[in-house]
Order: sequence, then C-alpha cells, then structure tokens
Amino acid sequence: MRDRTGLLGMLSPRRISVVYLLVVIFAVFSITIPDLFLSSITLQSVASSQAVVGILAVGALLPFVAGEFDITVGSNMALSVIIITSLSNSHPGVGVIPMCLIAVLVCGFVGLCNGLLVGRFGINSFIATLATSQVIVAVALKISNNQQVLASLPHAFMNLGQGRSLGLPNGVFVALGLALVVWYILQFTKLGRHLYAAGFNREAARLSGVRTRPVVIGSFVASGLIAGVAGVVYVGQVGTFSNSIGAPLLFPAFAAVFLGATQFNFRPNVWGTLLAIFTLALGVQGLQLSSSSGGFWITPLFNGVALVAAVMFSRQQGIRQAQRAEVSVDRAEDPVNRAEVPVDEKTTSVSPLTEDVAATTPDSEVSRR
Amino acid sequence: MSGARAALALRSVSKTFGAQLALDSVDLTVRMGEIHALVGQNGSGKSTVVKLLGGYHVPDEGCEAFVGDRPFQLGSMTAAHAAGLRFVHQDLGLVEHMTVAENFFMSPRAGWVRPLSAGAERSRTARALADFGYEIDPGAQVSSLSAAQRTVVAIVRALHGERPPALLILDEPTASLPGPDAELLFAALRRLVRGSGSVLFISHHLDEVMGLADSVTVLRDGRLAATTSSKELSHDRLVELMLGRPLAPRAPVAGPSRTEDAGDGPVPRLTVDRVHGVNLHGLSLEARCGEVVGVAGLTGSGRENLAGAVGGQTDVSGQVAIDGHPLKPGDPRDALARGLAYAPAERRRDALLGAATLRENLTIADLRSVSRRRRLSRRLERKEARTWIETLDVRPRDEERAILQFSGGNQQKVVLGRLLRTKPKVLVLDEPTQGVDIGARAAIHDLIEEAAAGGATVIVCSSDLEDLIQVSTRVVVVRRGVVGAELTGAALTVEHLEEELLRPTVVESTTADSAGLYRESSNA
Repeated sequence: MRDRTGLLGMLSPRRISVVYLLVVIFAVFSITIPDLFLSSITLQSVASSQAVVGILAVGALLPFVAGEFDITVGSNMALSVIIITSLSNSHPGVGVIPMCLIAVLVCGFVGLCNGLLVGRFGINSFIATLATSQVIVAVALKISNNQQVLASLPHAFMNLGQGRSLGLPNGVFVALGLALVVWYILQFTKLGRHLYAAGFNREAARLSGVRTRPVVIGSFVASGLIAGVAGVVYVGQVGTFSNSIGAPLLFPAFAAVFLGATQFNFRPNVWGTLLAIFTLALGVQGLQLSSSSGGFWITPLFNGVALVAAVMFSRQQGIRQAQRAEVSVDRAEDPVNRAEVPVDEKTTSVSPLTEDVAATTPDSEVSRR
Repeated sequence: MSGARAALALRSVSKTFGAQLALDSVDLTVRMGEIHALVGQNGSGKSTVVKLLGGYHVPDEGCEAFVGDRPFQLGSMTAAHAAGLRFVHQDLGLVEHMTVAENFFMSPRAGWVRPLSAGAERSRTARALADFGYEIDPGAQVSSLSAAQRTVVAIVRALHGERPPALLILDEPTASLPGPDAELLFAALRRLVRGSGSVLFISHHLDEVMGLADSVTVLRDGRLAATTSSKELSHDRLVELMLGRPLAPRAPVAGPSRTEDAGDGPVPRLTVDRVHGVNLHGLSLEARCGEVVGVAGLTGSGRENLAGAVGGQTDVSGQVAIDGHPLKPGDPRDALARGLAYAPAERRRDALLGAATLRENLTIADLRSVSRRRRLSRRLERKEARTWIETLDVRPRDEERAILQFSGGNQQKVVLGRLLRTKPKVLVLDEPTQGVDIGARAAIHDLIEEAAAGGATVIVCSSDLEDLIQVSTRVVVVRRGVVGAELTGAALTVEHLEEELLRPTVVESTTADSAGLYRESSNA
C-alpha cells in the first residue's frame, strides 16, 4: 500500500483520521448541544486556551522529528513565566521586551543543556529531559518561593496578550506564526531534511554526511527557545505564575505531536500536530459543556483515550503496510549460504512492529553508541 | 567402530532445506581426549552440523547419534545440554553490560529463586578462570574486555558446571583473535583435552587446524570428503580435500605489489596506510583512478571491517588519504566532502532511511543540487529522482514510494545512486550484492564498471568470489588484518582466490595486549 498522492488517497481515513474525528465531534455536539456548542464563544475559548499548548507542541515537534523526546517543554515554559513575573516585580525598570528576551534565552540555554546531554553524552533523551525538567521545576520553585507571583507588567503588554485580532486571541497568531516557520524549515530546507533523516536512521544519516550531533542538539535549543516564547504568551494571557502551571500542558502538547505524526504523511509534521490540538480541545470542550457536573475530569480522560485510539488505528494500518513490504523484500533463500554467511539476524530482520513504531515514536536506540 | 572411546559419533546424518540437500549422510566421530577439527568451504555444511548438534535444526530421518555410549537425540536443545555438549559460537553469546561473573551464572541451573550471592559467584568465577590459567577480574564488565578475554570467558563459562562436559564445540572461536591470543587459547584447549575432555573445533584458519587438531574431518558440498589424522595431512592436501580438486600452480602474483603504471599523477588516488582497528592489524592498500579493487577475505580476516574503516564509519588509527589528503578517521562527512563515498554492508541498519521515500533516500547526501536559493525544490527533487530511477532502472518507477517497499536489489541501487550523485572520486562498497537478485546484481556490476570507466576508484569488499572476479581489475586477499596476497589478470580466478584465502599467513608482530592478562597455569 503506497502513499497515494491522488485526491482519493489524500482523503483516505488512514491519512487524515483526525479530520474525520473532528467532523464526528462537530456533528455530535452540534446535534446534542447546538446552543452551547455552536456559539462563537466556544471556538474562541478553545483557540485561546490552546494557543500555549500549540506553541509548546510545535517546539517539542523539532526534537521529535530528529528522533528524540523533549519532555522539559512544560516546565521550561513555567520557568519562562516565573522569570518574567519575578523580574517585573523586582526590576520593573528593565522593560518588558528585555525581560521576555531574557526568559526566552534562559529557556534556550536549558534546551542547549538537554541537547548536550543527549547529543554529546549519549543519554537517552527521555531520561535526560525527565531529569532536567525536575531541575527546572526546582529553580522555578526557588525563585517563586512556592508562592503565586502576580506580574506587574504595563497595560499595553497585557492588553496585547489578552486582546484579539480578526476575532481570534493574539496568542493564536503567535502559535500560527511559529508553526509557519517550523513548517517551512522542515519542509523546504536542508536542515529540515537532515532533522528527518536523523530521526529515520541516525547512522544512515551520519554516513550520508549529515551532521547528526549538531542537528540533534540544535533541535533541543529550538525547542527550549519556543517553550520560552510559550511562557511569554502565557504571561500575556494570565499574568500570574503559580507552581501548578507547565506540567499539565505537557501531555496535550505531546499527545498532539504523537497524533499529528499519524496524519498526512505518517511522520511528525506541523499541521497534523495543530489539527490534533484543535480536535482534542474541541472534543474536551464539547464533553465539558454536555456534562452537568462541570466535567473537570473530562480533559485527561478524553485526551488519553483519543491518543491511544488514534495511534492504535494508524498503527494497525502501519503493520499491514510493513508486512506487505516484508514480502517484497528479497531474501537470501539458500539456507546453507545463510548459515555460513555471518549475517547478524538481530539487525537485518527488523520486525514490522519496530518498523511502524519508527513512524510514530522516535527510536532512541538507533544510533547512540 | 571405535564406539567405546568416542565422545561423539554421528552416523549418516542428512539434512535437507526445501529442495536442497545441505548434508548428505555425513559420518563424524570425535574420540575422547582429542581435538577434532571440522573444516570446509563456505556452504560445505559445517554450520549445519553445529546447528544439528545444538538442536537448532532437526535432521532428516535415518541417522544415528551417540554421545559416549548412549544414543543421542539430534535436534533437541535440551537433549544436547543434558548429554553434555557445550557450545561456544563465534559471537560468544556474552551479555556486554553484565560482569564476567554475572555472565557465568546466567544459566538456569544457577537457580531461578535461590538468591544469588555476588561474592560467591565472583570467587567461583575467578577460580574457574584460574583453572584455565587466566586472571580476569570477575567483576569487570564484559564490554571492557579485549576480544581474547571475551573468547576465554565464553569458553570457560561453557566448561564450568557441576560435571565436566562431554564435548566442547567451538564454532570459529579464533575469527577475531590476533595470533598470540589464539596461541594462548590453544594452550588452554590442549590442557583441557589432557584432562580427557574433547573438543570439536570449526575453523577457517587451516594453519591453526594443522597445529592444534589431532584429527580432521573435511566436508565438501554437504558430503564427507575425508576424516584423517592431522599428522598425515599436509596443508596443500587439506586444501585439495576442501576444494575437491588438485591445487592449481601457484598464482604468479602474490604479496602486495606497488603498481607504478597509473595515469593519475605521482600520488595514488586512494592510499590506506597501516590501518589498525577491529580485526585490522596494520593494513595498507593503494588504488588508482579507474581501478576496481576487490577485497576478499574469510570471516574474521578483517575483510568485513575494511570498508567501514576506509569510509569513516568506524574510528581507526592509521591513515586513509585521497590524492594525498588525509581523511579524518571516523568522520564520514569529511570523507564525502573529499570525494569518498561509502555504502555499508548492513543496508537496512546503516544505509536506509527506513520510513522515508525513495526520493528522500536518494537525495540525502547532496541536497544542494535540488535546491533553489537555499530552498529545497520539490519539483527539482522529483525530477532528479525520476532521472536516477531511469539510470538505475529501479522498479517500480515510483519516487514517492517508501524505500522499504522496494526489493533488496532496488534498495541497493538507490543507495548506489545516493553515492553516485555526489560524484565521488572513490567509491567504497561493502557487500554490494548481498541479498540482491540476479538481475540487480548484473545492474550493480554495470554501475560499478561505469563509475570506474568514468575515472572513479572503486573498492569492493565481498564474500562472494564470483562477484569479485567479475567486477575487479585486481583482488587483494586480506588475512589476519593485513593484505596477504594480490591477484590480477590471468591469475584472477575463483580457484586461485579460494586457495589464497586458505593459505596460512605468517603472523605479523601484532600489538598483543596480553601482557599481564595471562599467566601459565600452575595447577592445571
């Protein structure tokens, strides 16, 4: 089964399952709760609440394309928020823009540390970023003294942060702008292709002349910087640091990256990620509006179930695809020669399962040795 | 029948795979207290015998097997273990990230539930190693040991246990050992058989076979060619038995030669100067423009390691230079920039971008030529891919298809295309026709010849001798990590190559790291 480029192929449920999910969600809630669901306020509240998640997801997408996890994005964003809020109280003279720049650069530095741990010291990215995220949390708690911190920022900044343009919250435009830039890089630059190559097969990329190490490290730096920007947008929207922000945004951002990777071309991509964010948020919103008791527990439930269901769906397809490929791949059938030729069975016969996982999760084992 | 004194006796063992007869009623008798060598060319059935003994394959009907005096059920792993057969395979089967002692006590007999005592494990391991005359720290990680030490650990592990094994089966244990280390291992094996153990020893190195084994069984095309005492056997006679024909007159050109008749200036295009690395012990090689140099060698000779060392995949000491400019070792990017393109042997593991399309796999090594003002042009890229699909005759002609959905031959053509797009001065190909169908094989030969005709230097490392002879202008034979011989012109025949592969090598003074690692055993 190849990836058809024709219209029919484009519309196959395999390629755009999330679009179908979106349509179903929209149809169901339009019928069950038309008054609540179809109001423009619903759309706006989804857009506004998801702008920060979208920015984080676009950031986390970059290391993910290169085959690595960056699970610091949530706490890194919180670090950005506390830097801005505390600076606005302690050094109000610095000015909003320098404050934001400092916050973003510090987050970029955190990304650099992650990148060095992974790219230079060869630590599994899941472990490395899990560890650094805890260090960041500690720093944020230290700065904030474990208190809520209200930002004292100029009205102009807060108005910008909470304002709307063309009927959409301004934060959405930041998310879309970053998404455009990342999309362009991934799609139209050598760097983007090298990122994908490093994620597909690190050793093959290296042997093809890709500077895999700088590429991976750079992806973490970019992810850190973007998390810093997410913090700026968050401050503009909310204006407060509390010790519970950040971490809860990690899951929706990552869920969107995973889900997005099953869309369109079966690899991590920008628009699939944003589409997944919007769809998941709309589903959550609809369920919450339908629930009489407030439904505060719905968000995690829906996110979790939707992620597993959607990935399972595309995984099934992926397995079938890989099995078909397996049949067509030539094999040395002569058992005698096979026995004598020193072929490492473990490495040559890749199971269809690993094949498919490569498309949906980074195989961090690939190359660091 | 010397049944009473046989450690292992096999009678008329056959094995068919599909329509192919891999073993044709083979007899094999290993007497107690002897080292018995099993030799034969690739495909002669040696490994099939080992796998039958180990229980990986079940033999055809009608065979008999005895271990000691008892009948023995071939084709069962538990029966093999219960009968006292112990195996050490070429890959040794050690867990790298565990200590020596942990590797010793992995077998189920150590007990699943009974708590293990690390201290007792270590002292027992140390004692077992000391019995063999080795001092290896039982607390050391296996990954930190030298090749020789690992081999020893694997062998001693196979031997230690509640009761002594009936037969130790070594499947090419010396493939990765430099000479002096192999000697120490052999000393240990001789001590073992003096204590009435028996060894079945599979090796490519006939000099070792002659020096170590008491008797030799030769297999040829799945049949028993001969079983004799090694004292009655000369080296040439052994090679004749393996090949099944009298030896040809010795090849006219043997030993590395320095050709001076090239058209590419004073410096050769490619020089490989005293490269040391895994299995490579100071290998030197030169190649000129338009030459296709084949590299032959047995498993473990260094042939499998040469291409990766030249191509920058592995870090080695020594120097690889193009037109006199040295390449940074272990840096494939630098190699590519200097005009050296390398195709690894493990296509799927090291060459293919698995989840990507043919187009992406083809263009990855050079994206500039498909870019406009630093922006990748999908249109140019597709056009380029289509052109190359035609040139390489890839089928189906579909540049957007995932690379893994092509056959092995087509995948290999794409890998070659990726390299050729960089317009390399030197092309290094490791096993370019492995797992490739006949049609693609011919096409790959054509591509190699075209590249050479265009002035490129091509190095082809292959275990397929026919292949080497077809494409190469000359073939160098690698033995024990150095170039042992070189064949060109009329001397370049399969017969000569086979003989050169098996010819004993004078062991060069290798940098043995054995000082202090071994002591002659006083208590064995």
